[in-house]
Amino acid sequence: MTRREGLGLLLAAGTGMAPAEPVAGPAGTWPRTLVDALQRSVRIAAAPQRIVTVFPSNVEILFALGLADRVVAIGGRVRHPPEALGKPSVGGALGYSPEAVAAYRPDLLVLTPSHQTALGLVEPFTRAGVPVLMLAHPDLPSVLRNISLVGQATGAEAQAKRLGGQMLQQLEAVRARWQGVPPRSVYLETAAAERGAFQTIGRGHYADDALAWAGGRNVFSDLDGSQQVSAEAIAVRDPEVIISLQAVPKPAASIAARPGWQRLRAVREGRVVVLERGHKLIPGPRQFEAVLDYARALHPERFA
Amino acid sequence: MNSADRFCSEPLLAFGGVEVRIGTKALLSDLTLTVPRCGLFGLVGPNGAGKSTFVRAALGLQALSRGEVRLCGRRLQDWRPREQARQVGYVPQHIHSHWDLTVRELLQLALAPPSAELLHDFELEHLLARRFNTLSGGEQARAAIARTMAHQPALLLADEPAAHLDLPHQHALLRLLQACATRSAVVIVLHDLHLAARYCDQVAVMAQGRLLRHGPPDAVLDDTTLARAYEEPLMRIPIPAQSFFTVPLLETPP
Amino acid sequence: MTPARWSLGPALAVLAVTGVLAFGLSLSLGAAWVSPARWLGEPGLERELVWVWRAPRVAAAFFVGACLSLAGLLFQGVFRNPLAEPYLLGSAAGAGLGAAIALLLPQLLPPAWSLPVMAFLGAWGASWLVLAVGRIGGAWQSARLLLAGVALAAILSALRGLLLMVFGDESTNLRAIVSWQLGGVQTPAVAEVLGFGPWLLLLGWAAWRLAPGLDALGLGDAAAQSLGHRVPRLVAGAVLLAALATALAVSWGGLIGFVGLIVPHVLRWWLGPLHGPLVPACMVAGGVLMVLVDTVARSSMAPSEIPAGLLTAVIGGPFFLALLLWRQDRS
Repeated sequence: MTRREGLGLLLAAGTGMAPAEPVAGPAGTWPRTLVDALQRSVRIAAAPQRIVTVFPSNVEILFALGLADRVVAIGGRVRHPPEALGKPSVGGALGYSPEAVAAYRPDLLVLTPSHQTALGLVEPFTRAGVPVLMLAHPDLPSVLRNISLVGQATGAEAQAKRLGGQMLQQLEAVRARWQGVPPRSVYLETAAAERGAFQTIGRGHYADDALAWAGGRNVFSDLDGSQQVSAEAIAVRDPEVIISLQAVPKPAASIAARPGWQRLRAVREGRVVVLERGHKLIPGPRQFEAVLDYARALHPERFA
Repeated sequence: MNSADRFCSEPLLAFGGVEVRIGTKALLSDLTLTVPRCGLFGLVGPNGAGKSTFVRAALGLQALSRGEVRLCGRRLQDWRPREQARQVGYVPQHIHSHWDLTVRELLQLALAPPSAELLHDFELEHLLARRFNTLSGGEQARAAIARTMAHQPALLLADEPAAHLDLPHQHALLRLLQACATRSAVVIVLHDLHLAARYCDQVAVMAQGRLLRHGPPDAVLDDTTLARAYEEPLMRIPIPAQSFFTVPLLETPP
Repeated sequence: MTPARWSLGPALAVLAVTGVLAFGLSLSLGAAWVSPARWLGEPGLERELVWVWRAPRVAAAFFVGACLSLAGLLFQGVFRNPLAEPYLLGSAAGAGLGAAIALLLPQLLPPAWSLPVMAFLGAWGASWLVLAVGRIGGAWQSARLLLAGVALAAILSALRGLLLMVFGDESTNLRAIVSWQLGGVQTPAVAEVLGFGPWLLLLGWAAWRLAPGLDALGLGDAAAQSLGHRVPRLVAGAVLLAALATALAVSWGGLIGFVGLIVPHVLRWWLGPLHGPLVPACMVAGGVLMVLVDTVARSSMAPSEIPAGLLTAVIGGPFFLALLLWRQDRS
């Protein structure tokens, strides 16, 4: 079984079926107990009507599941979807206060553990008996698992299954278009400080999976998670394509202008693509858009 | 030959009506004094008399409220720092090196390399490799003065050089300064009146920022002047054929 | 028993030999080992790796190390404190703020104002600001400069932190900024490498001219003045020169700590406290040290790269402690 096929199976397993984690009571009834991404047991008494969530990825998942009217407040710098911008904010740039969140009388909190500031909300609300669902999303299958988890937590299992199925379909559609050509080796730069401090991702990161779906082979797949690499490492691995994610995209020529980079295969053959960072580093339902963008960069002739 | 003769025809150091005022307090008032071209010139007086202020003014480190200080006839502010440094040497009261210099390295900071004769006179030949901060008080004083005298300045200003020395070393140092004073003018601030009487060619008595008297020690350091300066009755105890000690009169027990 | 001091000649010889070895090592190690025999072999990936990718960066590492050590020496001399280091007068905080602006708000800046330029301006500007604030009646006093430096560093750091919190979100990768702050040598273009030599000569010459004044300062302000030095000008000149060296180092290497503190400190034990010999020795030793640090940074966990400043802190701290304890035993 090739890596692509294995990934596909894993994704399929993660989406619509009943989760491997035990659920007390037959599916569809309340109260129910879930095991979240941090192996915490979360007990939810009834279908939550007042959900508070922070971070763009979690917001996007909830809105994509059609739960907009059940979300009472959001946090973090959310720019998508447009409907979310009207929701009251509980903060973000400078931290979160439990009192501000409590003012909305939430019956479910959906958080992500990778940001220190949000962790301060876990303790007070758990003690107050409000269920706190922690979502972690290292790789692409986890993103799909998160969708399923949120679906179960909110009673929106049907929408979750549909959404997961849609995402999988879209990923398959992208893959179908580049079928037949071997994947192109690629270096994905998530950030850089001009001529140094090149940041990339390795296996176990959702962007690595996204690249695989898009028909790319990450030259730094042997690394784990987010890592900084030296310029000569990139030179030694000589990727066919270079994709640089930038918040304010600069022209690709600025990358070619880096000292020594003119020698790289990707620069010589004009396969340097600068993409807006935006949704590509948000592990939510829009990852399939990211895959499409990567695929266009990797196999332009197939995605004209 | 006196170093000053080569460079000056005027009096070496002249204070003319100098006044230094900080706020309402006068550190120096109407000070007029001439330091001759060679000899050991002692400056004595109680604490707060303005002795250190005098030294700073002579170096140009103190802003004057009135009057002027002239070095070799030129006003101090007309001297460039380098030029002035060649003529005037200064040994501060607390001789301290922030860095761990050896004596040899300290002497490298002099404006001219020290001659073998200088090293011999100051008995520093065996101390060259020693760290300055490990020397005794007397040795440190000798090294510091040697560093200052190496380029043979016309005037040496020393602020209480004998202050932290024990008895034998005080006298040794003063004899050394006397020897220097045959070639340069040496102005030292002293607390010990006996040392001043014994070694100085001229003495100036200061009190409360004013100059009370100056001249040869025997003439100047009499009971009246000292009592005025120190505001306390003092007694002179003569030492036959040498000089005298001065002690405060003790109150007789009831 | 205090150990004898070396004179400059033999010391430079030792440093030169170490330097040659360091350069050799650093050109051979990296993401792939290239033995010296292959450096001048037929053109190919290996030769390219050494001369196009590594050599400029090694040159930059030497430059950064030399500048940091020189700045540290000057600051230690001016403040008469063997624990002074180049970032004392707000340089690090200023550079960090400049870099944060360059990385978080690039749309605000003209395209020519890249990260190195912003870092340089931040470091240099902060030092000027400190000098302006630290004046009393036209004179600069060390103590006041230090206080102004501490205050300014606090303000600039706070601004940088605020910038990071407000403008950093899930779509900005903060890792690049953090990594830059932890320090790492950037790769210069060939034209820029050619500029390193003249810069080092200029900085070294200027520092060597200040050396007698710095020696005199060690005896106290009054003694220095009596030796013919204008102390306020000397202090300002030394501070500005050190700030320039620091700003140059920061624009090429980010915030690398410890080098500017340890190199002059240790060399002073070895060569004595006179600044004349210390200027060239510090520059060479600092450069060689930085070359070694950079080699470890990019080859010990290849293909990953460790931020150089992280290395200097992790190794420098314990090393310094050990050295202090060893000296304690001996004296």
